[in-house]
Amino acid sequence: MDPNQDQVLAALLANGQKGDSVAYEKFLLEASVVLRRFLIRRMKTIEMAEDVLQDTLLAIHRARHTYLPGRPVGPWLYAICGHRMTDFYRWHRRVERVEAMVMNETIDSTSEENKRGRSVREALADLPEKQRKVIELLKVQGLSVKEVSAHTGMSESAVKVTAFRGYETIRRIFGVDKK
Amino acid sequence: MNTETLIHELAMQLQPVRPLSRPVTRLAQWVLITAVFIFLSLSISGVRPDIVAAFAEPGFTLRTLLMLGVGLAAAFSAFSFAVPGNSEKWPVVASVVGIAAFFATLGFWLISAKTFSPGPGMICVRNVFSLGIITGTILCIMLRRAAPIKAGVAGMFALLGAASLANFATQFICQREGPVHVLVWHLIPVVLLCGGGILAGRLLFRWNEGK
Repeated sequence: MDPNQDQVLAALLANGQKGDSVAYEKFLLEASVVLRRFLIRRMKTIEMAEDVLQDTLLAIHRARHTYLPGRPVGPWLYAICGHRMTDFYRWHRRVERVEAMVMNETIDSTSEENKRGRSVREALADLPEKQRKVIELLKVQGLSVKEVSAHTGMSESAVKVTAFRGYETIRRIFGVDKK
Repeated sequence: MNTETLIHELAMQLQPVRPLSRPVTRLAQWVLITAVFIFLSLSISGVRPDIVAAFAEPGFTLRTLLMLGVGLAAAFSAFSFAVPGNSEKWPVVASVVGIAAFFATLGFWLISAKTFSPGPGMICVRNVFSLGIITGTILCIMLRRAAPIKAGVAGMFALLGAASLANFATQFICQREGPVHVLVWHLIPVVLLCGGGILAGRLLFRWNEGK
């Protein structure tokens, strides 16, 4: 970010802190252009970059009082964005690990539930209706997150969160946390 | 929801906010509060009667000043870590150098020590813990208003700052001299509080999870 652009953004954010919603919207729009470019260079897909960008904008909104007027805004923006990107990858790794467990039924052979001869599919049946439906659509019928979103009327983020909660429950049932 | 809609919604629900004070201002506020608690602690426990003679000894003065320096530098680091993008490294370097210097003085003291018994020290532990936990909690509450990116690190520096100043105050109370006493009854509580600070930071500083 060049110094001139930094100054413009800093002035807009300082006005945003005072409650000027027009300046604030302009700040977020201009910051999103800068951050989108930053994220696209670092993330696997444009969709992922957009997900993190939205998360970053929410974090910026929550932390807007921590910008110290008079200081450069670039380091502040990039620090928040980098933080959200790291969290996103951490979350993704967890989801992928749990998904792999559910798909391969790589469950702990010593867990009590497994000793009782319970399968992952049986565990699925015990999940709350919403979680079970989302996981079945994703993993049994093989639909994409977007398709499940269209099918259930839930947002894509809600689909991911619901599926993840379901995976976590299955993981707990089979004692995968111990690994 | 697309990004432009999200931006518009965030702008529409905008409320004015008071920008956070600079880290140095926040440090000054915390030090004032801590000074009150140190004064109360010294009033309750009583200042050691030989304090003037103790300060005549260069080793004691150096260790006391180092604890004060580490406490201030660590607390300043915590306040700096709580502001995203704040890249001031000197308070962290000052904390580490202060700790290293403190251990060096302790090492020299150990070499020339005549006694290696820690002696009784539960009162020192109580002082460091009580003062460290109270002022550390206040510091953590102040940090929660900010947005620490590295929550565990911010928590550790917060408790290092609070515990070091608690240790500084304990120097004015504790009459037992000896490197092993200081190591066991003064420094181990500081290390334990730092560990607690990492956990507290991870638990408390979840500013990005919505309000």
